[in-house]
Amino acid sequence: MTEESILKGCLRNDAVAQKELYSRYSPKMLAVCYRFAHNREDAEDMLQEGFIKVFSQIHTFRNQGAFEGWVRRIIVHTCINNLKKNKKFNESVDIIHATAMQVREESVPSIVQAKQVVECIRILPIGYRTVLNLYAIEGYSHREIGNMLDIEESTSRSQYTRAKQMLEDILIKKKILQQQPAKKMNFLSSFGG
Amino acid sequence: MDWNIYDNDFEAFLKQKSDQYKMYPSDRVWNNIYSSLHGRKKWWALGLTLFLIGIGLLAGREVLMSDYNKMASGLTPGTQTLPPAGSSLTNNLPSASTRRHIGQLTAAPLTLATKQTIQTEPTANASDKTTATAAEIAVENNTGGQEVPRSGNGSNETDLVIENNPLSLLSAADKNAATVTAPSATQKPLPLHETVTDKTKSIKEEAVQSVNQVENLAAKQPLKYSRWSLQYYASPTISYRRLSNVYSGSNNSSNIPVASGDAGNINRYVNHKPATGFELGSNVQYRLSDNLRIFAGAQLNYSRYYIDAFKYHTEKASIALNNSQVHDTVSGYTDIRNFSGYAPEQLQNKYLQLSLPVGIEIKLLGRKKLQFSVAGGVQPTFLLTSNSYLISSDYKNYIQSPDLARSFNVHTNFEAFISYTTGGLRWQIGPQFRSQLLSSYSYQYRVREYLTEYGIKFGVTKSF
Repeated sequence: MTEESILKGCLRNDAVAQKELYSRYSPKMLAVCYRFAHNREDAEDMLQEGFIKVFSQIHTFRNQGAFEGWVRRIIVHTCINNLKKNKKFNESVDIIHATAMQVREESVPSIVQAKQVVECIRILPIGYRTVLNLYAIEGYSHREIGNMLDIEESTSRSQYTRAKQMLEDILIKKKILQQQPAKKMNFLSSFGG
Repeated sequence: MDWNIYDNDFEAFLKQKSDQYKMYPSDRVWNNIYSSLHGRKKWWALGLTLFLIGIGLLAGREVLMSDYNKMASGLTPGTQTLPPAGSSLTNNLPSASTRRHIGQLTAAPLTLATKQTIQTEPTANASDKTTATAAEIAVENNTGGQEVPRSGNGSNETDLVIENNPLSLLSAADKNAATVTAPSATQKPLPLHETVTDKTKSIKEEAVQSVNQVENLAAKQPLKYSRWSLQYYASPTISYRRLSNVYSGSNNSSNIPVASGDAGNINRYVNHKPATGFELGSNVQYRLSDNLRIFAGAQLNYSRYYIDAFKYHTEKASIALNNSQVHDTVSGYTDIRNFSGYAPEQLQNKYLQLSLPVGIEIKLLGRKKLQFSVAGGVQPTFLLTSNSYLISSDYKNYIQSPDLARSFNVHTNFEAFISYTTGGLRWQIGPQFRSQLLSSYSYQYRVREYLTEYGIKFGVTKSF
């Protein structure tokens, strides 16, 4: 089925088209949820809630951008709304303590590099992880992140800086970045050491 | 100043790796999405469609049977719906023969006619051999060759055939002449041999045809007091609930919050109030005897009750689940507290169910019009939709978890009522009681909820 026919089917509330859309995007979107969520079960709950919103609001999609991007924004907002219910995003975590506390060899499966990176991101404290996910991966600005998380823009910046530093330490400890020495050197040099 | 992540190797690296990563959700996710988008609507539609089809079929049958009643009632003795084929011979043999057949079905009217025959026959032509011969011919033809029992004194059923024949009122000589040469004024004169042969032949055919029609219609005529009846009923109800908590001895309490009250009586920790609902249904009844009926049907039940709770800041709530192998917990976020909060909040637990009641009705007192009866039965029940709040394992919060609702249940019901029959309808009113046998929720949920409903049932029953 083409994306256009899937969209038309979803507008008619056709279950076959909905299943096709779900099958096409759910693996990527679950990975998005997983980066925000505490565990896989929570991620699936977020995915479920997000896709229900997608199907119920699909008539609002105006073909003004990629459909996948539209779906992704809904999923991300769903994740953020779930996290906002009881999480504070403006609290700081001592980087040294957090790194020492969180980094454990057994918590980072070494199957593929992508999975290693995602698992390393998930090691970050929730506030850092959320800001890093939104800024570095989802492409939101700090102003948008501040609005989404009800925090100051400056808080988002500082959280991101700390998150980035912590993740860098983790990736180096795990020797993940050593697999791409050129890139590693580039971004490490961009940090200025 | 915001960074452009694509200008930075680190962000690009993270995005690239993150986008490469895919996870495949479990089937549960799609099933829940599908149920949310389609499942319940279909249950609604299916339940409602089945219910309406059932009602429609029963109503249609009732209308059809009513039409048969009207047709058959026109065929009772003394009315004018006999086939017109014998109209020119209304008082001749075929008519009498036909009536004799009717007499076999409804004997009373003919008994009187027979008596009249016995009284009149001897005075008219008891000794006339010619008349007896004519009658004998007619009877033989009418019976299709079957022998008709006769007695020698002219007071048997053969004579009954002749009773209403105009010929029987004539003198013996006149009758003899009339039989041979003078057909009735409405008939075309025929030669003697044709008169006897053709006429009796046509009479026989008409008689057989008439008898067949009458027998067919009589077979379709229902008994005067049908055993089948259709009942419609409605009842405002008020719902109460009974809670109990199950403590799993094998549980190592790893999933139960510290403040869990599993060992305590949950009814002490909740504040629930009954609320009104309704019951609407129809059933088909079959009368086994004057005092005993059985019934089966379909009904909708809307039950609800109130929960006194409090509004509070969103917080996490957990429900520990029973599982034979593992200890599991369902967690979610809720802004409803069972105890202290910043504002009172009244919740409603609502259930809409489709039941298929089957039961028995016993008449205890009364005769024809006014009766007192009791009835009871079981009701397999399907949950069409619900909106319910579950209390968390620590009794601290209320949270919604539709997955834990039980979709199939069993109810019992008992009722006592007074009925009054008038105009072919039996009207009834009386209290009823309906109790839920299985918990409203899955057995994984440690709190058991049993609903009980009380109502005043109004019903009307029509026999068909």
